[in-house]
Order: sequence, then structure tokens, then C-alpha cells
Amino acid sequence: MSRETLILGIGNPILTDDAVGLYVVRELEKLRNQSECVQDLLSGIDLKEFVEGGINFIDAIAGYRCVILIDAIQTEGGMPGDISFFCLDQLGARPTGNPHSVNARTALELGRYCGYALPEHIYVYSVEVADCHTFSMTLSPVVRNSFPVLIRKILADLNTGLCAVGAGLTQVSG
Amino acid sequence: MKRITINPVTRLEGHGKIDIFLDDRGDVKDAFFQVTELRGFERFCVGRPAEEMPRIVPNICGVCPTPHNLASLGALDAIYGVVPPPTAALVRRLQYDANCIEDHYIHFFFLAGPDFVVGPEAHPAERNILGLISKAGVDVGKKVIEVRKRTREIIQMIAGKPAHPEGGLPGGLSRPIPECERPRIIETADLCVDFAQYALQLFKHMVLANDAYLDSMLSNTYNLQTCYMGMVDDDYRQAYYGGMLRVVDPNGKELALFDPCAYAEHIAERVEPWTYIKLTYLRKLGWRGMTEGDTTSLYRVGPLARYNVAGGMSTPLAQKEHEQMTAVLGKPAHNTLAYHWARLIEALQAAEDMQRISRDPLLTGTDIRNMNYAFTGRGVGCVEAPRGVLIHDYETDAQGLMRKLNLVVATQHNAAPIGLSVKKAAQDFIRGGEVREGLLNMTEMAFRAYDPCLGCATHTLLGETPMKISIRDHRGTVVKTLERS
Repeated sequence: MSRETLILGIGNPILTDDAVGLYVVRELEKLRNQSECVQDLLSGIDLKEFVEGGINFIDAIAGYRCVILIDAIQTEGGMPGDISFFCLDQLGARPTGNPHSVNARTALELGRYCGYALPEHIYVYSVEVADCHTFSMTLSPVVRNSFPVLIRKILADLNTGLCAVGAGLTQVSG
Repeated sequence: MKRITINPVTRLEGHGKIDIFLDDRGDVKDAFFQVTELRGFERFCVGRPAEEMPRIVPNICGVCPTPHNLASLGALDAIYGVVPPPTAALVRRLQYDANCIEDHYIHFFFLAGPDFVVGPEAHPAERNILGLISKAGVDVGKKVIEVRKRTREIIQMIAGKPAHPEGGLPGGLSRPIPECERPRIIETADLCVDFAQYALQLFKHMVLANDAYLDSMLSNTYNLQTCYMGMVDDDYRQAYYGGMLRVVDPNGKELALFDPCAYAEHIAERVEPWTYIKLTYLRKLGWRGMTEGDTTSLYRVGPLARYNVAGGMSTPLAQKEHEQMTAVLGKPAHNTLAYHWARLIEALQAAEDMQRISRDPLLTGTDIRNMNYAFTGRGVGCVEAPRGVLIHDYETDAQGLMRKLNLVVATQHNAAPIGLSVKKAAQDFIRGGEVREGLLNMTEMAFRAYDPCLGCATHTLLGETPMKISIRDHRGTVVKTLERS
């Protein structure tokens, strides 16, 4: 049975800023329990954490109509703490040099090829990292400063019913 | 409207980075393979209760969380001076088997298989799982995904989460397997045995029956004469957990057979200026440089090493396959691309072992934990991770808080041999400073055979891991960079 929307926080819980997606999901869950307003905004939306990658991505998102990923990112020229929003389709395909994984695009393509019910829409909120090489369960100061901004942005986007700041207008939750 | 251009590189630098050093004539002198340098793990762990370690260490690496979890549990058992009851040992072994099957098939079908099935000359955009499926049929993709899903279910059943298992405790397990879960385990085990045989048939049909691919496997380019290290049981058959480590020289002669607790007497580490990975070598032979042949002190680990150190397999169908491989390649086999063949045979052995365990009455026993502790404060755990020997060495204070730890991972053992394999592949393509087309493909095949673990790269979802080769002249200056992008 098709479910509506999933917000999926991605990261490694013990690698400093890499965990930011996991923290966002935990914070949204906490706010949902504390505030009726947030409860309404997140009505019908599942919140989950995902600590892997590659083909396992299919299992995490199969069955949802819309998925919103929250992930750390490192981009060319990006400033630590920068928040971006984009459609997954905007990422170019790139052959991997990683000998034990495939990227999200390939995983999706494979899943669709093999008949999985995968989301029509996948959006990404990303936060540019300052440090994801050090073992720690604390965000770097610059990413910690961006954290509440990102939470507010997600809730504001959900409030307007829009989740497409640059990728056409698409209703995320109805 | 703000337009955002996303150009993710990777969240972790250093993956797949290869440095090739030329001599003053412009020929290949050395090659080094780089992996991620993650910082502060010891500092992160020191002061924590040792019991937390099996839950922490799977986070190091998205590739082999179960082996890290099991090696850590082995170290904890030793710290607390306990031997897990038979049911707990059986369940841990089931967890190991499930991971081994999943891991080996992801590597073969998603990453290595396309090199052969689609072809080493194919464009990288086609040399992937989708290219493989278009050649071998969509059913292959469906079967791989189903086997992976089912084996992960078993890990989740045992350890809570497939990605970062947390079910083990010193001396055993936190929960028994209920009898009602047995039918599903039996069904999964049977499915895995069928698929394992199918995978080997596919390999024989598409690789061994193809003269060009067989020639590649047998070629000098992909031949590296090193020592080998792997775990064996009392009968010298391949073991993955609780056995002794055996080392053979390039001629197959035994150099050492030791309890993994004594690893430091046999393995030494060396720092080279061009790489931050510590290169391992056989301590008793001493450092003899990045060399192969009879005098080398370098050794390899992983499926090919396990094939070379063991007399055979522990299950009947896998044993037959092992004998077929020996008939073609002999023993020891130094053919780096034969790692793939050995890997598929190991997956069959793991599936057969799972089949045996699934029907064992002890599996659902309730005596799952031995708490008769005899605290020692020191423990070494060792398992054969899919890609080779993994050692966890812990020391605690009297309260059981972590004081010191040392992890030796498979890719560290293999780092120098990977460099040598890359060097041999590169020698065919670089002469007098001239770099011929094809270097990236052939180099990729050489290092991919080892299935090297690149830290926590595997949960990288958005960014990708560019494969990058830097060619440096005899002064160390980068003269050319090749990148798959």
C-alpha cells in the first residue's frame, strides 16, 4: 500500500557533522511530541533515520509517494553551514570509485527496473559540512548554528504546503 | 527564483585515491592506494564502558558492520573471561553467514561482475549493475535484491538492526531466537544455497568460458606473488570465527600458525611518507620493501588468501567448487582476479552453513548467555571479515572502562599489495612518461578485486567517490591526474 511522505535523516551518528540529518529527524520528532501545531504539519509524514547508503536506500524509501532527504553534503565551493534544497534528479550521475557501493541515482534506477514502488518525488535538504572526519557525537559550531535555521525552514516549507524552492511547485503533504 | 547548482564531491576525501610514482626514466616505480583517514576514534572510545564497543564499532564502517560487531564481541568475551554457550555461538555464526552472503553478492554483482559481464572495455556508465542486468537478465537483479533483503532480515532478527547490529553482549546474546522464526530462516537459507549455485554457474558461463576474460585472470598483469594470511579450523579448513591464523609463503609453505591473540608477534606496521595508511608486513621476515616473489614479507588477506591458506572448505558443495578452482589455478593461486571466484565459493559455503544452522535444534535454545565472569581487562577478537582478517584488541581498567584499543582492518593488510597490483597494471600503460588510454579501467579492476573497505564511504548517498589517479615524477611532483568523473 502506498504511503504518503517520508522525511529521512541520513548520516553516521558518530562522525561529527555527518550526523546532522539524523539530528534533524530527532528534533522534528521531539517538536511533534511537544507542539500540536508541528503535529498538524507532520500529520501523515513518517520520520526515519538511515545510516547506510547504496542499494539499501531502496528498502528505506519503497512504498512512499514522496521522500524528503536530510543529509550532510560537501560541494565544490560550498561554505560550511550552507543549507540547500534541491530535487534528487538535479544531481548528475557519476560513476563511483567506491568499490562497495552505488549512488542513490543508480539504486533508484535499479529499484525501478526491478519493479519496486518508488517515490515519484525525492527532495533533499542538505547542510554543507565543516568536519566529517572526526569521531564525535557533537556538531561543529558552524553546523550547529545552521541547525535551527534548517528546522525552521523545513517547518515553514511544510506550512506553506510547498516543498519546491526552485524545482517547480510540488505539494509535499496534503 | 534562486538556481542552485549542486556539485557534490564526496563527504570524505581520500577514497579511491591512487598515487603512481615514476622513476627518472618515466617508468612506474611505485604505486600507493589511499584510504580515508578518520580521526579521533581512540579518543572517542577511551573511558567508555567496554560493553558499548560492539554497538559503537559498527558505525566505523557501513561496509562491514557485522564483522566489526562480532570481532568486538570476541574481544569482550575475552575481557570478561567467558565462553558463550553453544546456542549463542551458533546464532553469532548465523549472523556472520548472513552478512557474508549479502556482502559478497553486493560486491560481485554490483561492482566486480560488470567488469566481466559487461566487459572491461565498456564505458563506466554502462559498466554497472544495470549494464549487468541488461546482459544477464532482469531476474538476476531481482534475485540479488531478494537474497540481500532476506539475509538482512536475519541480521535484524538477531541483532536489532542490519546496518549497525547491536544484539550481542559479553558472553552471549541479549535475546533468543524464537521457534516461530525458524521457518523463515530455513526458507532464506535454502534460497541462498540455490542462488549461490546459480551465481557460480553464471561466473563459469560468463567469465571462465570466455577466453579473453580467463586470459586476463591468468595474465601476469593480475598476478602478484605474496604471502597469505587467513583463518583455519582444527582441520585446516576455512574458518571465519574462533579459528587460528595461518600464514603461507608464495610457494604455499606454512610460515606461521597462531592464536589471533598473538597477532602483534607476527604482524608489524610501517609508516611510509607517501601514504597515511600504516602498511603491514610479516614481523619475523622484516620489512623487505614493496616487493613480490619468494623474498617478500608482504601478505594478502581476503577470499583468495583464505583459499590459499586452507586445505579446503567446511561444506560439501563449496568443497567441490574449491576443488574445481584448484584444478584450474593450482594452489597457491596468485591471480588477483581470482578473488572474485573465491568470493563466490565462500558465499556458497556461508549459505550451506546457514542451512545447517537453520535446522539445528540448538538454534532456538534459551541458554544464550554465560555470565560467569572472570574479568581479565584485556581481549583480542578476530573474525574473517568478507574482505579479510579483522582484529580488535581492547584493554580496560579495573572498572571495565576502555583504556586502549587497536583495530587492524583488512584493507590495511592489503594496502601494500593493492599498491603493487596497481603498479603492475600501470606498468602496461605507462612507459617513458607516456600514459596510454585504458589505465583507469585496468587499475580499477586491479584494486576492485580486493573489495577494499573505504571507511564509512558507503553511507554517502548524495556525493560520490571519484576515482583519482595522480602520477608523480621522480621528484614527487604531480605530472598528470586522471579522474573518473
